[in-house]
Amino acid sequence: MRMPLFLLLPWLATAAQDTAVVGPNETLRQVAERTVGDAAASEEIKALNGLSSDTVAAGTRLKVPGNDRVLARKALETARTLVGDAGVSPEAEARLKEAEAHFRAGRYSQASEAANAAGKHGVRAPTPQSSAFSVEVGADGGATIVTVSRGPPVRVEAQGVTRPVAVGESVRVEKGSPPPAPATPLVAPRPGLPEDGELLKRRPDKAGRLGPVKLAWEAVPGAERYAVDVASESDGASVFAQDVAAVDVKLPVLPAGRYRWTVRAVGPAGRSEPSTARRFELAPEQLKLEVMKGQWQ
Amino acid sequence: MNGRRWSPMLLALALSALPLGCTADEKPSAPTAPVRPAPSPRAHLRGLQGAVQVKRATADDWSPAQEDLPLFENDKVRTEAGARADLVFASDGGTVHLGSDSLIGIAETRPRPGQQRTDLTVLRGRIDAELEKPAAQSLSVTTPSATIQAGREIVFQ
Repeated sequence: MRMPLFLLLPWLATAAQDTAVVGPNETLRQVAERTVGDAAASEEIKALNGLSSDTVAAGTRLKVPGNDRVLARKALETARTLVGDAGVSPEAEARLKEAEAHFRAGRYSQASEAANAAGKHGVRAPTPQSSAFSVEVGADGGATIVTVSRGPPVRVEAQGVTRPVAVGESVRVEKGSPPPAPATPLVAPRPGLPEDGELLKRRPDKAGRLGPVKLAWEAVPGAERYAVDVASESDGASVFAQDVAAVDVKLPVLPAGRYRWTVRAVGPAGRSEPSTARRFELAPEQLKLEVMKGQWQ
Repeated sequence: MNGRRWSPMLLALALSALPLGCTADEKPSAPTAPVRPAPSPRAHLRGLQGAVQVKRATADDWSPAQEDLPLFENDKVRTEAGARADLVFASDGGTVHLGSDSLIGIAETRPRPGQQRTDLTVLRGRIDAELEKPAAQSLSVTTPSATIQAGREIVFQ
């Protein structure tokens, strides 16, 4: 027996859009954590429901992301990998940025579409063929650590067993033992603050440089430290590159301008892919002029 | 008269019939050593920073390394704390950055027709290897506990 199409369509429409009721004293982040399993989805819930505030009364029924968010997120992750692997492709990066903006606004189908387009651009872009890996031998020569940072996998052989070690993977081979399975690669950290494209106004120092700017991101399980890279958007030159143990870093004073930053997780399993690039703009804070009352006013 | 005239001719014919280089009067020559081609350097040292030393395969002592020093099979290179050096392999341009407090050896490789391998032994410390074109280059690194193979020439043992 075939279900009439006019009966199926409303069902599909409701299935694509889930709802949730806000509990007592529940924040949007808690709603996001409860319904989506990701507190960062609170911004999307806010956008989906046209909310201007983070405070929502208990009992309010909210639209929450459904399965289309999962699909969009997968498309985004794939696109990030492809675009990252392909190097700098302005078109791919633009589409990826567009996809991320759609995603944050809860427009998941548009996000998937833009992410797929970014991935296609990434695949078409010339891929670097170079290979880079490190080999570290302890002082006693007992163990060897092989880490692949770029290019095709390398083969690690010991005791008649050969294992491929791929990009981002690391393997430690003890003397007299076969190579174990490479450690699970670390996931890229999720940038926190500042928000993408945020304008940061700071008071200039005597040399006209601005700061401080604090970058923050979410911790990654298994990470021992984080490699932060900040570059000028105008010429791509790196202005700050440092490994830190914390999940935030305070940048030194910088000239006014637009900047782009990424962070990688670093651990025994090697280095993660870079996070989604975030941008911020540094501008001098306008000084407030106060004219004293009197004849000069 | 006729017998005197013919005897040198017969002698000449007899001599020409003998195998070359094997005359009765000739002394056997001493066996000459086969001419061995001069060994070609397997790599060169570049970008030296700090105390970097080399021990030749035929030497007993370590000596300070110099920029662009050629390295041959079984030569060893060591860096002290804070020192660095780059090895650029002659065969295909593969580059190995040698970190501080490290000890490596240029391994003896088995030549194969049409193929050239770059082999390196890391005994202590850290190397960072780069192959610009892994589809056309290769690098095989051996350590006391493993063998790492990258690039084109992947040989499973």
